[in-house]
Amino acid sequence: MLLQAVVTGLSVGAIYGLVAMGFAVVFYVTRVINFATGQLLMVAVMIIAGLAQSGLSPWLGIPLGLLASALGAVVIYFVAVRPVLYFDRLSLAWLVSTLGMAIILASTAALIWGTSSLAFPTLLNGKDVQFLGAALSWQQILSVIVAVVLTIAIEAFRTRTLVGKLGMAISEDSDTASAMGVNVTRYAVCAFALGGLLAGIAGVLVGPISFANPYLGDTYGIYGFVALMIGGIERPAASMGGGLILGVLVSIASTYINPLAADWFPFVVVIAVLLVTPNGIFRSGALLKRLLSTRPMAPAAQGS
Amino acid sequence: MNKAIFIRPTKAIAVPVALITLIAGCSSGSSSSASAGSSAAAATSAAAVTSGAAATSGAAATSGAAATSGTAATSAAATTGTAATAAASSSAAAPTGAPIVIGAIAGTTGAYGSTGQAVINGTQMAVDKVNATGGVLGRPLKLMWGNDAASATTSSLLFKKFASAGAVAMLGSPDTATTTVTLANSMKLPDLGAIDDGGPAIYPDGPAKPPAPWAWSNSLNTYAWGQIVGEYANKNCPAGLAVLHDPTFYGLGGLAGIQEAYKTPLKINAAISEDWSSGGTNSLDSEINAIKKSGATCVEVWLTPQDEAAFVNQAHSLGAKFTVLGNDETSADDTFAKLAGANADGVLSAELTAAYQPNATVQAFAAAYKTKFNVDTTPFAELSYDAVFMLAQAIKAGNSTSPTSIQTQLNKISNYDGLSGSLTFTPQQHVTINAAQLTLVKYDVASKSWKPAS
Repeated sequence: MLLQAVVTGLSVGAIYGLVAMGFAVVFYVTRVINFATGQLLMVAVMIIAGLAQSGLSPWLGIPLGLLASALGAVVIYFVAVRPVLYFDRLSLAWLVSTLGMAIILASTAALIWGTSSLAFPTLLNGKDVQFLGAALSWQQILSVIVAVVLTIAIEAFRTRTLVGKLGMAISEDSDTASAMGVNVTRYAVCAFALGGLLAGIAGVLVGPISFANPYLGDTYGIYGFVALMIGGIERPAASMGGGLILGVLVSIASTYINPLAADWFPFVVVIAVLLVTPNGIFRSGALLKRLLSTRPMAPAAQGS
Repeated sequence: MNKAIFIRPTKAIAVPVALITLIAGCSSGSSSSASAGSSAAAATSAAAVTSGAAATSGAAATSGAAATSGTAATSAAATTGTAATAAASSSAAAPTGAPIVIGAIAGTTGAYGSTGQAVINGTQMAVDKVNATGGVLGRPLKLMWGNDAASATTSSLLFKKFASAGAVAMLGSPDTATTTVTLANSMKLPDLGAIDDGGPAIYPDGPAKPPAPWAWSNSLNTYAWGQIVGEYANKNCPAGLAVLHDPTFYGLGGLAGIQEAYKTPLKINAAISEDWSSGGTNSLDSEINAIKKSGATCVEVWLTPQDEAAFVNQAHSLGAKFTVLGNDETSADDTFAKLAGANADGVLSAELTAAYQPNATVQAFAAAYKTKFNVDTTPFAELSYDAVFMLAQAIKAGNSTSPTSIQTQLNKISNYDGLSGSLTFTPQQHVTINAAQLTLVKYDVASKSWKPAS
């Protein structure tokens, strides 16, 4: 029973984690949270389902859906983020403008495809695999594999390549990076596109299970954001960890408490995490350091 | 000392982010539990999204559509009228008096969006027909309607808005009846039609106790549907029955009906929190595995059509073989069958016999409905059509639009020959559908239709 709950949780958590990575990739370069990330997942799902309904093979629809998610994210950057940061680099107006884009995207999808759910291509969701008594579908296994591969790839790219390191430099101080010749805007565009792509991939993985609905982004956007808060906002790999933890906790709560716990439990976890380790569980071992520390921590600044 | 922990460079981000987390959490909760009558905070973004969508979701989409006038019939009084005669009447004088305003609230977007749209469509057709046949007391009906998007907050605002605009009665809501019935009772304003499919929304203390005094449900009755399921399980589920249901009055009504008829303890009785605004409920894998472990071979999935389809698909993916029973929405339209595909085969549901075996009047209505809205009719359109005519009849019988008169006259309507059957209200009977009016049906993938279950 526990193993079943864990493997089920990992498969769901992989989806949350991918959405969370979509948030994190954008944040770590631009210091902006794109609250329309869940809706970018929805864009991919709706396009693939819509094209499949009109007879197009899903294997052709999937690249188009992913492309739309990535391009949609870039549009969000130019329409809702760049203008507000142009006038005030420290402005938090993107909180509202990206939320506004989320609403616009969902409304547009409802206009195009209607408000009822559409069937999504089955893909690998139809055959089960038994693993030590636990049952999983191939689609769920694919979710975990994709999540792990993408996490490793993004982390390697971020820390082992010059381009990735420049991204981190921009994150630390974009003005200095810009003064040194780094094209900050190009990096921001790429970060948004990658964030949208990750959300779209999450959509492809969850579509066969959840169907296609214009308002799907609300659900997965929120869970992805919670995963981001649990894992930590600074590193994409940490947010994937948050997603996996969230998925497993939700699954265990649903199994051992009751199914309604899946609704409130994530928020209990995120509040607890924010209280204990405000930057997330995987923030450079901050939690361990604090728990194991035998001496008082130094004040943050003189006179504070 | 600990203060240092919280003073970090990212504080500027962490604070608003935490705030947004809480806001998002509140929105989600309000959406998924709207029907349970929770305080339902926020949902501002959801409301904005869905209202925008509603305007384009088709059919009868102009909010607050004004009454159309037409020719008209005789006085058409009668306390036991018929939808057929009222619908067929013509050659009447155009209603000229001040409009009689009626409000209608339904969720035309979200998981039950197709149901809500059918409610509005059926209501609009009835209003048009009434006005084309002389109106009520020589006055046209004026319909004001709104999409509550399954949000109790939005529903409450709409109810008060329509009441302020002079509505003499409300219709609905199928998703937020706890709100509309509570307001109807407190404001002493009749509320009828598709009201959360009867059940506890009308009889909060059980069907033997007095009903809500200002609410009458024409809708499919969850108690009756649950009873059909329970009776089936008694005969066909020796290994036991598991029930997954939403935690609102809709799901609880079904559960109560099942437990009334099915006396054996349930193998699994699990409330599932659904997101009615997005239709995107989380994985049901844990529940599927728990049911497998329990040994139950029959499962009543009293969830949205999307989640029912997700359940049968995931059960298939995980190698689970259950006899799956649905609810009154499962076969009401093709949402479930389309999403479940081949896995819908053999799923059981129940249908209103009058809708399943339509007479000439129902067939005529179905044809007119298809012509007007370019979609097939559903029981929710038909029962909403009936509700308007029953309201009109109550106003005529009392020769008054006062709420008290309407209440008195609604309680006297007997054997109204409606599209959804022979309908009766009394001071104790505030629902129109009972188990005897239902037929158990099974989905057949080959013919893509629901057929009587043997």
